[in-house]
Amino acid sequence: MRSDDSANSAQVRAMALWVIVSAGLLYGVVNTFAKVVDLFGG
Amino acid sequence: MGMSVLDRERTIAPRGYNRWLIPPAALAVHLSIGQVYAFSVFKAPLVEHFGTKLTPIGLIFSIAIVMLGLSAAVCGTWVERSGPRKAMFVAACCWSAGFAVGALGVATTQLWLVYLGYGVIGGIGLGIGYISPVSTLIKWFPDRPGLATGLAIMGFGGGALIASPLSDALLSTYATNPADAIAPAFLTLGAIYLVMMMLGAFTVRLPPDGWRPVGWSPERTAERHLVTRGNVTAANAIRTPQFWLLWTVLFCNVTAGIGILEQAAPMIQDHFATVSAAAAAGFVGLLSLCNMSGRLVWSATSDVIGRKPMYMCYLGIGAVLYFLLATAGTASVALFVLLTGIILSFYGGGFSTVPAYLKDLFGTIQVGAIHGRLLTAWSAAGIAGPLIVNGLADAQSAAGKSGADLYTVSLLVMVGVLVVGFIANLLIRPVADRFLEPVEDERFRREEPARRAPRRTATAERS
Repeated sequence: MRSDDSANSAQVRAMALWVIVSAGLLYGVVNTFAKVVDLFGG
Repeated sequence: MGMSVLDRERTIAPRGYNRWLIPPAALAVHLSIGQVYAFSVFKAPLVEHFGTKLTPIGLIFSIAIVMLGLSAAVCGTWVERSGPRKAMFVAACCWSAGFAVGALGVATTQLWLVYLGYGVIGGIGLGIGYISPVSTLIKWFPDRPGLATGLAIMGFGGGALIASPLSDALLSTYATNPADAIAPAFLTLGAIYLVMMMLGAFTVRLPPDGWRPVGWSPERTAERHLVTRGNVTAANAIRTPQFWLLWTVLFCNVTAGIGILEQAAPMIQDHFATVSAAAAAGFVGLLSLCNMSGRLVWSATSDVIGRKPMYMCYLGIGAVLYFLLATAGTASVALFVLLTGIILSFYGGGFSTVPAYLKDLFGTIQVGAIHGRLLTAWSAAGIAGPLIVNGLADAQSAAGKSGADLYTVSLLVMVGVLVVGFIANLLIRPVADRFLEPVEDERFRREEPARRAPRRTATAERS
């Protein structure tokens, strides 16, 4: 079986990507919640 | 051989590879292409920049969505054959090139270039990017395909949540007038998405041949009604009634969801005079959150209760909720928000559960290609939904109605649309054996599951 790079570096990259996509989602959710506050409290 | 690193064979994971390292690759792609749902942020600046009306600007989004469906349908078989990395690479190139060509169109005030860039080239990136990680995830998570596809397709909903404030920030950073900041904002977004999608492309891995999660065997899940153990090619799938029934199900679910999405902000303000413009924007944000979370939660739930019952909920309970909205929507803001929130979570769930439904019906060998063909239902609903909703709203307005009365007829029409989808879902039965591909290993045939005891295979891997 061939792979383009070592399993280790691929796993590290994948874990870093988990962090990046989670941070992105958090940014979106927090910004959206800021608007939602206007609906009930604003 | 420069492209060899993109080849399918170079994407195979070593044995023991943790399958939970695959979803972020899919999410990176879907979060990027999900920007298309936040395109409305650019509408007003584009109208001002080109000195035109909303309709020609709205056409940019429509072209992109139509190209999404068409490219997913046409390229599905190629995506399946080439593997996820090459497909994601091409999707990344198209999506970011779409922004670059679009930026050129804006800078030179050539609207046709924006149509070509964001609409056509970007739209092709959308279609290929949307389907590229789906079959890979299904192969890694045969025991929980709903959860896996829900994770990825949740990203498509989440992409708009990220792109909306990000685009606002870019437009206000590059110029005092947002109309002058569109081109650099497009270029920046294109660059960010290129990096994200490339990271996804070079992270994605296919499982080795014969890989299965520990303790899982196809025999066990196939005991559930509707789950085939055979495989159907994309060419054969479109000859089955099941494909077209599911096409109808998706078309109805999307059309009904668009009924709310299209006019969410004016709708709540017409129902309740006390709701301000800022609060209406908050309502749209809340619906986006429901849309996104429904994609994960309901799709994962379908792994437990089954795909057909899940769609009975989306369409059956959905119809009841629409009816309540039409008849009792004005009772209170909280009830209105609750009803529309659940409806939008069903709308999102309908998108993310469909690949798992296809896997149940048609097997895994060409599920990505079949999914691509099914997405034409989305394109069709994207055209039909707004036509129905806007047409009915205009007719009601012309008849002198106002406030909540403007929406009663269109909401009741959506009840009818959902009932049609509900019946189509009820009619779905297991695919006939004549459509199944011949297999050497008869363990994979549906007709014999009960006689064979579940067993672990020698190729099972730690998951």
